[in-house]
Order: sequence, then C-alpha cells, then structure tokens
Amino acid sequence: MKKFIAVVLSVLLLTALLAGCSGSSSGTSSSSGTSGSTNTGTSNSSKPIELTMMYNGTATDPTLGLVESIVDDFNANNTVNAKLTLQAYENEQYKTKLTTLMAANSVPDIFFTWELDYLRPFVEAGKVYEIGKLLNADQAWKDSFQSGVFDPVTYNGKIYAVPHAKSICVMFYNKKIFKDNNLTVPTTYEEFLKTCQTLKDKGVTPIALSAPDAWIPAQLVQQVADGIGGMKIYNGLFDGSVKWNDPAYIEAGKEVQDMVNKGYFPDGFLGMKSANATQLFKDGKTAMYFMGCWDISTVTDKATSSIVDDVGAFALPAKDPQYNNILVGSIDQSLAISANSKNPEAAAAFIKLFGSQKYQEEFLYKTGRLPTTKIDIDKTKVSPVTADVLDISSKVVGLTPWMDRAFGAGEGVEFNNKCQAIVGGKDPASEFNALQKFAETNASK
Amino acid sequence: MSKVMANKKYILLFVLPAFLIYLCFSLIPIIYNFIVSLYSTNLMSPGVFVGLKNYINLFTQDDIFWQALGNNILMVIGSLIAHMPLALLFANILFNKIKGTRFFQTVFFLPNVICGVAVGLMWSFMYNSQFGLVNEFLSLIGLGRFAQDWLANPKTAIFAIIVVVMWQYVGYHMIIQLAAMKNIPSSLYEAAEIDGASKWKQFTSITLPLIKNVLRIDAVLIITGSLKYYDLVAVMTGGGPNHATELMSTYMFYQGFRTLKYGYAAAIGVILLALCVLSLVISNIAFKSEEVQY
Repeated sequence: MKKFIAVVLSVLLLTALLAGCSGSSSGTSSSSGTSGSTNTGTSNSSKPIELTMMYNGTATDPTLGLVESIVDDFNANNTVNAKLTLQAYENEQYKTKLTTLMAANSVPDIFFTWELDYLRPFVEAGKVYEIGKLLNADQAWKDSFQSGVFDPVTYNGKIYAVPHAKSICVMFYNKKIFKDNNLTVPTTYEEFLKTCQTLKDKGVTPIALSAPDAWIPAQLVQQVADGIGGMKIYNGLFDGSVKWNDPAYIEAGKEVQDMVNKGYFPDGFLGMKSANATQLFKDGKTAMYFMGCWDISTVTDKATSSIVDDVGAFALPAKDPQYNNILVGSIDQSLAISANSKNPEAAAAFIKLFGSQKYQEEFLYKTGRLPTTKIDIDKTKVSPVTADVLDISSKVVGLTPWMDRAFGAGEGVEFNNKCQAIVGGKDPASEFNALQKFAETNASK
Repeated sequence: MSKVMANKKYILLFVLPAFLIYLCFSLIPIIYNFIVSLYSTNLMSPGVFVGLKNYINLFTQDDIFWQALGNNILMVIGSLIAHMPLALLFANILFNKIKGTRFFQTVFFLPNVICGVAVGLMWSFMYNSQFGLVNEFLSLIGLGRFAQDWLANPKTAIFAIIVVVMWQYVGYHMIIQLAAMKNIPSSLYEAAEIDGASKWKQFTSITLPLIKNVLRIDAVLIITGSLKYYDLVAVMTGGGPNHATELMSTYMFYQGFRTLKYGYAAAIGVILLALCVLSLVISNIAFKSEEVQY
C-alpha cells in the first residue's frame, strides 16, 4: 500500500514538474510561434494570418478600451485575412518585456513604442521593420499625417514607426477655484507666480505634483527651462554645444525649488504616489495640475473626477516672453512592426486602421488625444478642456521632447533623477554639474 | 539498499537529474554571464570585446555603483544585527519552553511567508507621511517631531527598508537556530543545572558552541541574502529617490534592462558573485570549530 502511494505521489510530482516546464516554455514560444504562421501545406486561404500585438496600458487606462475595440473591428472586417491578438502590460513591465523580447528575437508583429532614443537602439540592431517603405508606397496613407510627425521616428532618413497622438505638457486648472478667488489665466510668468501666491495665501494648494516618479518634477523643470532658454538650449544638448549644467537649466532648477520652498505643491508631495496627486486635483483640492495632455481622459473621467465640467488648460508662460509657446511635448502612441514579422503588410493594415480618420476622431473626442493626422476637428464635439489643449497646440512654435525619450536611459533618466533631487532640496548647480559629469563618463561605458 | 548505495553507477544516475538542472540553470548561465561581462553589448548586435573595462569603469567612474555597494553593506550589517543576536535571543527564549512556544514560532515566522511584494506594499502604506502608521505611532508616543517622509527622504529611505528586511526574516533565522538547538541532548543541560550553572552560562557554554556549525551556515545565508537583495527595494522605492536606495541587484537590472548595457550589468553580477563567495570564506574562518561528537 505504501509503495502504491509513493508511486502515485511521484507520478503526480513528475506531472506537475513537466506541466510547469512546458507551461513556461509555451508561454514564451507562443509570442514567436504565432507571429505570422501562414499555412504552407495546402493552398487553403481560409486559415487566417495570425498577428500578435503588444501595447502599453492597464485596465484602468481609458484609452486601452478604445484600442481593444479597434482590434475587434480589425478582426471582424479586415481584408487581409488576419486575426490579431492584443496583449497589454503596465508601463514599467512593458519596458522590461519589450527589451527582453528584443534580445530574444521574439517581439510580436506590432508593438507600441516611444520615439527618438527609445527606439534607436532597436533600429540600429535591425530589429524594427522599416515601415517607411509601406508608407511611401501608399501616398494617401502618408499624406493623411500632419507634417513633421514622422521626424522623431525617422532614423537615417528612414521611417520606423507610425505616431498616432501628439502630447504636450499643459497646466490643467480648476476654473471654479480660479473664479472663486478672482483669478484669470496668467499670461506672463510673473502673473503665474502671483496666481500661485494668491492661492497659497487663501489656503488653496496651487499645483498638484508628485515626486517619486522622477519624470514628473523633471518635465516641470524642463518646461521652465524651455521658457528661459528656448529651443537653443535643448537642441544644443545633442551636439554638446550646450552642457547639462548650462545656466538656463540651473536657473530652471532654482525656479522650481523656489516653488517648493514657497509651498506651492501639496504637503507630502515628495512621497506621494502620482495617482494620489492627480486625485487631489480631481477632487478639487488643488487649483492646478501640470501634466502631459494625455491625462485629459483621466481628469474628465466621470467615475473618479468631480471637476469634469470645470477643467481647463493653459500653457505655462515663459519666464522670458520671447520663448512663449515652446512646450515640452512630442509625438506619442507610436506603433512599429518587428523585423521578424512574417506579415508586415497585414500588420500595416492594422496600423492603417488605427490611424484612420474614424479612430483618430474617437481618440480625440472620447479620450482627448491630439491627432497626428489632418482631420477636421468639430469643436462642438470636444470637451472644453480638449478645446483648450487644441488651442494651445495650434499656437505651439516649438516642441522639446521629454529628456528621457530624447536621451534614452542614460542622461535622460539621470536628468529626471537630478530634478527629483532638486525638488527634494538639493542644490540645483551641484546637481546639474553632477549630471554633466555623468554625461561625460557615460559616453565611454 | 546498501547494494544500491555501494554501486557508484547508481549514485551517479540518481544525482544526474538534479545535476543537469543545476548545470543548465546555474553553472552555465554563470559562465555565460562572466563572458558577457567582458563585452560591451546590448545583446541584439554582436558586442565589442572590452576585456576588464566594465570592471574598471564600475570601480573608478561610477558613483552610483559605490552608493549601491554601500547600501548593500549597510543591509548586511543591519541583517547581521537582527538575524544573529536577535534571532538567537528569540530562539533561546523559545527553546527554554515558555508558554505558547508553538504560537510564537508561527507568529515570528509569518512575515517570511508573506510574499515580498505584499510586504513592500504594506510597509509603503505604513511609511506614508500623510496617513502612515509609523508617523502616527511616533506622534502618539511623543516623538512626533521625527515624523517625516521615510521613503522619500534620501537620508532615511535605505534605513527604512533595512528595518523591514530585519522584520521580515527574523523568524526564518530563528527557526533555523531553534532547530539546531533542539538537536542538543537535554542531558547536557540537566548536568549543567545540577552543577549550578546560570542560564546565561548554559547558553554561552553549551548552546552556542554546539550550534556553531549551523550558525556558520546561517551567517552565510544572511550575508549572501543581503548582498543579493532585490524585492523590497524594487517595490517600495525603485532604487530612488535619486539612487539613494539603489542596491547592486536593482542597479544591475537598471543597467541591463533600461540602458541596455548588458555587459556592464553582467560585470555587476560577477562582482556580486565574488562578494558572496568572499563572505562564505570569511564565515568559514570566523566560525571555525572542530567536529564535536555528542
């Protein structure tokens, strides 16, 4: 009897072990196995081409639902006999997963990507399909896009991804709080500071901001720097003509540190999770909120926001008025095709649908994403805050993409870290000097 | 049975599966990692052979690596304080059969069973400066002026995390030491009792020497565990603020999976391995004792 039990148990253990092994291996192989497995046996064309796609988003993302409906639309109505499966991951997980899959050569057919230096290493390693070929072959598709949107995803003159949204950093504001305190939208930097001081004196927290995600204080410093030095100090970083410890950046750091010292940010913002800071604004507890315009969908989400009808937006005025309307911003929601994809044309058909007028309009009217295509915008269909952002966007004279996109995970992320240290009280000059030193040594690693 | 044990072929056969797994998932990756550390590569294109340049850069140019190493050493010290003397104290108390030994064993071991991410999340809430328990407790006992943002202040963040690590693994090491103590025959204690030895004398002269072997292994576990530590830092602070809580493991992850400098990250891994082996050697020397027959 004992022997029998022992045998049964060991068989169970063995099966469990094997199931575990096969489970994990099929998990990783499914992403490469199903990428474009066409039927090579018979010429049976009824077997659909299987496409896979990975996207950055979580269930709480208002845009993910829209993306899923586009996938359903594609699967039901496409003419290339393809079936697409979508997998979505949270931001940090997504970055790790994409990097790992790139090294293992098993990236899905279509993947979400950021632009500039994020995509560059993958392009240079030959892992990304040159979608420019298909764009140039289909002039109608290429011409549907606004001019300049392909620049951040063009490497060596070739286009490697298709952007579907524009993002700019704006200062969201609560119209009701402004009215209650007799405030108007500031048009100069001094007015902006005075507005903050007035709110602070009246006991209202002026700006919602959180520090643990380093890119959040960093984008504010970058925006203030844009207003001090313009495009010159941004573009100069690329060829080294402007150093990271340029006086403009140090001055921007000092400005934001001043705001911290004057108490313009919520209590405990240094340790506050970003979602909590956003919620403060959505609960009407802060007057303003500095963020990329993608958060329109969050601040106007009726389920969690009590200020849906009172939200507006304005561009942060520049400290030096000649640099007004130069904003931190770039293109977003870019989709690229893996070089390993066996069916790039079918994948491109999906991307075409993603960027079609119908969906660009839905992204705009339903989630407030600025389009990259030339569509006629019906101002009556957009929410008031989206109308504000569209207005700001039309006046933009220059965009400075976020540092961690333009400079990748080296200097870009260190810029974020140094800005985080500055709002934590460290001296801006020494932080930016350290950043310059880092940039110089990083080049040799 | 002895026929099986005597036949060397059978021994080999039974060890083979485990050895194969060890070979595939431990040995070969370690060797591959060492090879990668000699290159500058992003694993997508052929790498450039740079020899020991990665190691040189790590030690001479990388302030963040030194910060991480320092944090790891702080964690080793913190763990050694909590998991040796403190765990020994608890183990000894439980060994002397106080009321509710079983209960306390379970309760002390509980933090170890909770998954790392859950522990991290729970303590993140406790350290929160607005509604966290830690600050509330401090103001309750009159030390309110110490209340602050524990995880966001670069000076306190790493110590806040070390406290959580100490709390999490005290039970684990206590159980190990308790099990070792239970191996000691009670006749020794009875004899000592008759001879009039105090409890403290019994502890230092009987208990400690006889569990020295186990303490040696335990010390290695503590030190290597602290050097390898990853979970809580990744969940609670992500290495921030501004690398204040960076550990070698989180920095390795960052250099590998974010900046795509896999060769550099591999070098960090090799240094980590070397430190763990060093701690093994030091432990062996410190806890040297002859084989005791009892």
